[in-house]
Amino acid sequence: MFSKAALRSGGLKPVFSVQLQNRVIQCISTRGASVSEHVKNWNNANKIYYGPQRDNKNYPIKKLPETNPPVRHGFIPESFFTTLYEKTGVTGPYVFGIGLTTYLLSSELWVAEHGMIEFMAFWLSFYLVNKKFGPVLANCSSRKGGMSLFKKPRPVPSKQSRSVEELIEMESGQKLLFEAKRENVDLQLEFHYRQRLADVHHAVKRRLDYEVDVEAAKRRFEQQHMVNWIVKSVTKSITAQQEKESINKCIQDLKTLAAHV
Amino acid sequence: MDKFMQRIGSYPAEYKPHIHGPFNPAINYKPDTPFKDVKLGELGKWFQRRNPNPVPAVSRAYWRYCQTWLLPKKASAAGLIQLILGASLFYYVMSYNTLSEYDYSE
Repeated sequence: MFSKAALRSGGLKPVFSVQLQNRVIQCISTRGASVSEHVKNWNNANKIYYGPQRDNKNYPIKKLPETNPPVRHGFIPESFFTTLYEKTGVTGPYVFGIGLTTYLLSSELWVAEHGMIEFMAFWLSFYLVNKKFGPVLANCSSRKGGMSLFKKPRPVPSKQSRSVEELIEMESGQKLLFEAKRENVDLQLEFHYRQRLADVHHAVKRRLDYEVDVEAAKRRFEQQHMVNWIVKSVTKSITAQQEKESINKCIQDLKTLAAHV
Repeated sequence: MDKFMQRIGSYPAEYKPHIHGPFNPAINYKPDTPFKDVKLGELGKWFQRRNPNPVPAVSRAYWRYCQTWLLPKKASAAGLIQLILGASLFYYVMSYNTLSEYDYSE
């Protein structure tokens, strides 16, 4: 297994595949060695590793698993819980864990000193970083052409070529597609035309409104000014003599009114 | 000493390529009854049969750990967490003597 990993990890060197005795082998071409030499070497290796004495039953080739074994709470192996389950039930492992922690803390085997704060802070940040960047990292390693030590060969397409009928059908579909796209473009043009019309209408209306407002304001101001001027000049033209006369006249009027009553 | 130096970097003596196939450092090529199945009376004999040198066992354990937890393609953070927890426990035990004299009144 590791020989395979080692072979594939030498990604910079050209790798070629050879089929030997119903077994495909990949090997790195080293400088100065011809293909026939490699074939000879690999034949020798096959003779040694896969000879008649090979014990395939007890020592099969161990394949690297796809994932690690199942865990609980992020890191405790499931097997720990299953082994304890038979003897203690579901809560057993938890009681064990909490009891152990309590014992360690109370007996001061686990001393609550400054390092404990660091311990907690480290695991908190570890949790946050894992939560934030874990999926990104997972995607990065499985991405095509990424950091793939285990890149699989590209699958051979099952359908090598398309039939002529299929191509003709695709051609007619293309026409429909073009029409639809053209219609779409027309719709967009119409939309823009209407939008601009509306813009122009709006702008002209705004200017006209402004003109009307200016006119109205001017008229209002003129009227106000006229009224003010007339009132001012009238009050200015009244002399002290006239005022006296008018007051006398008023008193006389009042007297005549009183006589009548 | 020369013999010892020669053994560094070489396969274990029990490993036979024509029987065992390509070498995997995680496999014990000298199988014995697993530790959990050994009866208490036979424990001495079992230890006598074993290689007294701890290096190969540690090496195998290391490779087994790597192949189970770290090297799989879609490995989660579990292996890393175990590694860090183990390391912190190890260094805690190492520095326990100074830590146990910790004075709260300081």
